[in-house]
Amino acid sequence: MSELDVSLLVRRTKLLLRFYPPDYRAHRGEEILDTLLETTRPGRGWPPAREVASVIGGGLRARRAANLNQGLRASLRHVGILAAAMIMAQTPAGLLGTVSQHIAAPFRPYGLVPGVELGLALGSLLVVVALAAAWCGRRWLVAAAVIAAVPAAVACRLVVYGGQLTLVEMAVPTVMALAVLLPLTKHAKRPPISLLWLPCLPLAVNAVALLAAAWGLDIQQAFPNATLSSIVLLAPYNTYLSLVPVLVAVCWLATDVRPLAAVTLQFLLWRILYVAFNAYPAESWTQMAIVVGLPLALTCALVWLLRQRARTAPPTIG
Amino acid sequence: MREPTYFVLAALLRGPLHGYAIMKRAEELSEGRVRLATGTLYTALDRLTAEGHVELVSEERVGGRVRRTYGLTEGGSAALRAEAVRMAEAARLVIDSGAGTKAGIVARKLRTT
Repeated sequence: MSELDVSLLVRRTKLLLRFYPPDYRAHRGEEILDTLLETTRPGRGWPPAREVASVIGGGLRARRAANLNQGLRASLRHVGILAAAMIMAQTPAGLLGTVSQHIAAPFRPYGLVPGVELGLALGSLLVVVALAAAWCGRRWLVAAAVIAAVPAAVACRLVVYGGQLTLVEMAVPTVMALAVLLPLTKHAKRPPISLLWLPCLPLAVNAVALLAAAWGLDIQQAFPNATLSSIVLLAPYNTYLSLVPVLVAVCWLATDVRPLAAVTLQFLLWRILYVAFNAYPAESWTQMAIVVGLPLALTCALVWLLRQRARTAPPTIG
Repeated sequence: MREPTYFVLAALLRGPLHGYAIMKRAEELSEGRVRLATGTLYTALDRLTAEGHVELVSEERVGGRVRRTYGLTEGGSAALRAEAVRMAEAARLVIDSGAGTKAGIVARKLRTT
């Protein structure tokens, strides 16, 4: 085998090793690479398919174990914190989505005044700053960013919906999220920075929708035949694009239950909040029971899965 | 104990080996039945090391890369022997009863008639 072939094989094998978590790779990467190269016949550009499958499986197992090494209690705390962070990020994300829908189809029943985009951008930026500050343990920065973000978001909302009273709907979740995030700043075991993608993803997705709308593309389309009642019932997951974070969290289940559990928990918390403030257009108690009961059942199932995985987790190396 | 784990431990009976040598030796001992893949081997080694059945014996650099050699601990050796005894007893139970053999079938027929 020529030197060029070997270096290509090494490069590809190293790429394969990225399935393992970074700490594990630092500890075992070279050793696994050495073994994989020995199992590969000269002249081949990739390790055998069986080896590739086993490395992918081993990598996912190692990632799953690494995600559980802080214990069940800490994992559950992370789920709560992530749900709070998602609630906080959902306000500017939803507003970005509303603006992109308005730009794509200006006939929709709400009006925008010039300058709202600036307020939205500021509100979104402040929320991201607050989340990053919480993750880094900067207590006063979290408080300052949230205090600044609440009036920015509320002002935008009042403008977007023509001054309707949406203050409670906007401010209460943000204040509740703040109550969860502030203690996080002084806690020694904060969720890893790698989980910050979850609350930031709805913001990113809606920012993309806004950019697409500016180019004349409406990618923020609601489900076909959606009624106003179903849109509110499913909010904020009432467009195809809004399902992106859910789909990513579902894929993440292969290595980590926390993101999807956080998504279902924040969905459940929103439902409870809507019911508490009587903001639901639910036609019957059965409908309301389904809307609250389904995410509750799903959250419980995911917590059970997290517990099962924590029990059977293999030891972590690295 | 699962079969791949059993053969990983059995491969180390004669002395410490590195990853690829463990795979080859396990295949040889099981007459080709147990073919360990790299990912499976290192998952098993992680678990066996954490359980105290296997230990890191040496670490050297070969061709610029780390090569670690693993050996059986006393605990690992005892667990392997206990498993072998358990399997032998289970096998004896079947072999001594003569089940499946011609003599066993004839003996059972005689007993029932």
